[in-house]
Amino acid sequence: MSAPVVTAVAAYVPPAVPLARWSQIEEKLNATALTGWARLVYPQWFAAYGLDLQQLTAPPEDMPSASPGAAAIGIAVQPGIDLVPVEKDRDLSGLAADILQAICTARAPEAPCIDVVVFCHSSLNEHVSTTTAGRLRAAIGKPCFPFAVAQQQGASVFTALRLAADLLVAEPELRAILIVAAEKWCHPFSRRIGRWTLQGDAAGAIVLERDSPSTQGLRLLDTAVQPLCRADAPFGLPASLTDTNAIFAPALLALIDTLLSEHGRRAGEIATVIAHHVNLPLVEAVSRQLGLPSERRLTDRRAYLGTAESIVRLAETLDIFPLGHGELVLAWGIGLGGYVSCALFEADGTPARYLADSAQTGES
Amino acid sequence: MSARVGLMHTAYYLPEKVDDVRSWARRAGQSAACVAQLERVGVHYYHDAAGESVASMATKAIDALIRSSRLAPDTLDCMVYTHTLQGSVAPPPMSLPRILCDTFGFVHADAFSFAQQHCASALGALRVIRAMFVARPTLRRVLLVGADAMPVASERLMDGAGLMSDGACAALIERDAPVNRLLAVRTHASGLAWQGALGHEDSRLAAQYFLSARQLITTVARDAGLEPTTLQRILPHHLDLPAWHRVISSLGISRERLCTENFSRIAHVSVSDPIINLTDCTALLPGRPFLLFAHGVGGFSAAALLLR
Repeated sequence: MSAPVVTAVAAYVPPAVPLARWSQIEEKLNATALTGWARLVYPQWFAAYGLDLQQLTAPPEDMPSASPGAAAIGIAVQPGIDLVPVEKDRDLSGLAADILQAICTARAPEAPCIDVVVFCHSSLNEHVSTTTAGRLRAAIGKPCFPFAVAQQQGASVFTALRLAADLLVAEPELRAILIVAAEKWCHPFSRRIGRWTLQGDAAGAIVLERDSPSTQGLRLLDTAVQPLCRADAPFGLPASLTDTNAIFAPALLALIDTLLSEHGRRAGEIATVIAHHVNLPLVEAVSRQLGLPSERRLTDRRAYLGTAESIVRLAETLDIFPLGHGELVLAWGIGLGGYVSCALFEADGTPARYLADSAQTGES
Repeated sequence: MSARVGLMHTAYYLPEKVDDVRSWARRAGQSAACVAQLERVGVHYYHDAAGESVASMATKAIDALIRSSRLAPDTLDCMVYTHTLQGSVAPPPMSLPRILCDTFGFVHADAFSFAQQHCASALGALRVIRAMFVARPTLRRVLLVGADAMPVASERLMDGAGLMSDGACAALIERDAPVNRLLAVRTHASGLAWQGALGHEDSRLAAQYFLSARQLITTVARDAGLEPTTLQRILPHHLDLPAWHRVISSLGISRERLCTENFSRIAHVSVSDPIINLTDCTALLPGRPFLLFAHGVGGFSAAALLLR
């Protein structure tokens, strides 16, 4: 069975707010009392998992004694993040529906119909009863199989890629599968996770089609997702950047190494890396230890985009660095709840692209 | 393409506290007319988690399955966790599927959630799980888990069609399973009413649900090369019993084949209804087909046709 091909990529990143400004906004939000469903349900929900609202909105080292400015300096210095994309107009399902429309517009009119839509997210829908998967079905306007894959945070997209490949094998009548990933963080869910990352809003979408002589894009060679064992990563909120990266980096390195070995490839053959910029030390640690190329890699100080991170960075990379036939692309990511993941692509033409990126990025 | 897979073992957990529709209506400020409507659609009692967490309920359902199946934890390849309500998972950035895997020592299992088909999510996930078995020849065992608890009493009302109950289910899906073999699975999604409570439920949707259920059952039976009349039992979701009688009647299936015993007893346990019914239906005849059906708010339906 031939590998599916990524034939279209779309990304949207809302305008970024400087971290210092976001810290001021966050302080006001944290002083806001919960209302409605959130007031009734969230405290018990968090308590069931050993969390409390105060811990979520103000991690221990950032308790009220630290000023917003000091908190901002701490996170900017360590993870290398000082820009926070914040969506002001749309809710989560709106972000997802709009990126769906964008990628459908970017595709050629004669492109195969979308038969499956997979929605990936970490942040919550605008209401407990809303289904973003249902909204995406409505936006497609034709019968399809829409569902959500979640609880793996940033790794969900990698699971979605693998499930998409499985569905194309198992159901020969399927023509194209759309994966949509979006994040929109709302109070009381904190954008900050300790001092080791900061989460921003964004949306991304990719289309996978069956391989054929005329299909142009990135061939998905393989995908791997692996949970960390509890001995390495307990379930509580990670606090220390050093400790956390010491957990994620070795697991990532082992997973990537295995994936490359299974395909008879070496790290030196990789032309481009699509990394999760959870924080800069993690990106640098993985790149350095694998000997991955530093050229053709985006560097910026933008907040981590969760499930949307891989797709957004893929779209941005393709926009700047054209890929030659047969060049390899390695994507890797993590799930903050304790997952590592990676995927290997081979270039065979360029996917259709749509990119609306309001946040600053730069090349290294 | 196909793979011989089946629901080898199933189990469920319902919280101990049982309440009746009338006392619920008093506490939720609902009218006598609402109570009469709920009783008309088949609801009399429901289970209340009463503060027990979804994680705890899911743990108890899995524990019951492990005890009945003697599953060796390190032989599980994957867990697929399904739910309806947003709060039926771990709050971000935590992961309930990973916590459950670690709790039970599923050390080799991948784990993720499949959701947003609301109460059709567990059966909808069967379509993905079947694809995993077809595409991954080394896959042997997948655990399908479903759990939900409605923490706000007034929100239990499912329009006029039923009352949401709390509970959890688990189904062990194995390659080459000798019982409950999955012959066909079909899903339907209309995209209507995706807003949930933020939108305005159109009364015409009820008629569409009826038509989509009938269509889906006909189609999934055709996929398996069968007529709907050959189904020995229909194991439905516990919503709108009179509508179910109409669907069954329109398909030429006798009423006795509809599994109705749990409508009154436990009400609508979100994603778990069909698995609960399968667990309770011990009198299914070997070698004959039966059907699981689920419907979710937002225009989702799923039907799975199995061979006992």
